[in-house]
Amino acid sequence: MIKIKQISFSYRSRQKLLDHLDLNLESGSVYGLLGKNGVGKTTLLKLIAGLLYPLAGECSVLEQHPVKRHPSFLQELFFIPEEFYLPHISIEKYKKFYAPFYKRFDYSLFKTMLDEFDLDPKADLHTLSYGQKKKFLLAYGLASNTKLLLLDEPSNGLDIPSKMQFQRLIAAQLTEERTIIISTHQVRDLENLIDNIVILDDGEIAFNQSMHIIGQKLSFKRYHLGDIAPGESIYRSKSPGGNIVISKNLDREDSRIDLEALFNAVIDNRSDMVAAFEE
Amino acid sequence: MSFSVKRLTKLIGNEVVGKGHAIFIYTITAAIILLLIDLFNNTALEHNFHTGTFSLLLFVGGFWISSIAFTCLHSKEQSIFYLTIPCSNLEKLLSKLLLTSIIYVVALSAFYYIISLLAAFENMLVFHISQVLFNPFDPDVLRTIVYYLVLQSTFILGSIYFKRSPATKTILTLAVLVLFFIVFGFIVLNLTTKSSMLPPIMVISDLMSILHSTFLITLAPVCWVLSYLKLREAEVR
Repeated sequence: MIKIKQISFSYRSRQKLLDHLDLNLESGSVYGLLGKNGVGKTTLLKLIAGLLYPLAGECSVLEQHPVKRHPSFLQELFFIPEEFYLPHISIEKYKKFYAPFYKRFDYSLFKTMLDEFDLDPKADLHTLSYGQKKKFLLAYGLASNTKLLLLDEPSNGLDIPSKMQFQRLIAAQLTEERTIIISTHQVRDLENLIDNIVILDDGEIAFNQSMHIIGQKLSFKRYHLGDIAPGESIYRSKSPGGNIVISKNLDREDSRIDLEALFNAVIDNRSDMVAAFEE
Repeated sequence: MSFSVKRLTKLIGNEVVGKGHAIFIYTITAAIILLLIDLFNNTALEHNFHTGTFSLLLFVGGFWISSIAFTCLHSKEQSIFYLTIPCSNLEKLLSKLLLTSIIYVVALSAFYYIISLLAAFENMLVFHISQVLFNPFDPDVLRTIVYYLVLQSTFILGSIYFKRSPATKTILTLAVLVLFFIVFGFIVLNLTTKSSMLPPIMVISDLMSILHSTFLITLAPVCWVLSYLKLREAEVR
């Protein structure tokens, strides 16, 4: 689905943001793209969408060069950026004007999702709040039935019920042919949705594993403040609510993966984390 | 290079319907102003009155809409929206180009013809004066349209190239280019008249004729190709 080889990118007068980055993503999964602020998550999404030219390296998405922006490629891509533009027209007109460009646009699904998000099809897009606009775009993006859906901070601006609806709709619309990449800071909003974690750090992919493998290889244990965690660990976090210890899952125990702790572990102790998966 | 007539017509349709409200307002405003001008100018009009007014509307309005045709490329949010519409770069360029050139010329000619008809009727009714009608196929009008189509291509290129004040920057660039060609022409002329003993007036006339033909034939295609290449390179930074 997505094959990125040795890609480098930098903005003018800045050091390399992405440096010889390699990444392979398969279809039929929801990828959570995590990283610190300014690490290049949005840039990576734009490179995948063909909205930026890499300085070096190759990027192949759906067996096409994204930068060529061929209609057959764009028909299979839907990108919802964090800050977006919508024309001064109603939802109904937007659907009428732009849905025909997507050959598999599902009109009935779009209607169902508008109902679920409580959006009036006659409403002018400019009269909607930021959260409502985002819900509209999510409904439209899912109904477009594209093979690749790129979401940059999708849960920003959504209220609590909408976040739940969003998770449910994404999970329901995932097919074997479809890949969804979600770039986010709010990992807790998407914990139940993501099935692969990609962590970007220092211009390269620091971590790329499925939740299944993470569960097999690592153990996440929570201790109350003051308790001493036994045994060797890869990472220990101290937080007001209690401590989380990540260690190798030698006993093959099931534990709930804490994405925040996992992210911090990769950033703070990358070599040990990588080693845990190589064994 | 991918091209589909269906996608192109859809893009053009979207642009027109999407901006329908603005087009309606501008058309009504222009119609009222033109009819008022005609009412105050209650004489039998000269043949070139309509050609002059039409040319003014054609150049000012056309250059303005051409210079804002690609403003969407200079805003991060709008360019993501525009560049990810499933159409090829060629279709995107052609839709804007056709709208600001041929479609604009045809629509303006039809609009102006109707206005001249209404104005003639108005003058006949109020002042009992018979006025000439606007003829879109008049050789002077057709010549003006050719010049518009050629010059308009520079404003389309300017709209893709310049982020801020594209119209002003395009006019300034054109002025610099014209100045350059005048200076270049004088230098060539000086050298030619020194080396051969041809009468200067003949050389000037020939040189002007060559420059004129070259300008008419090459300027628009060069600007179209450059516009396409620039659109293809467009990024969202």
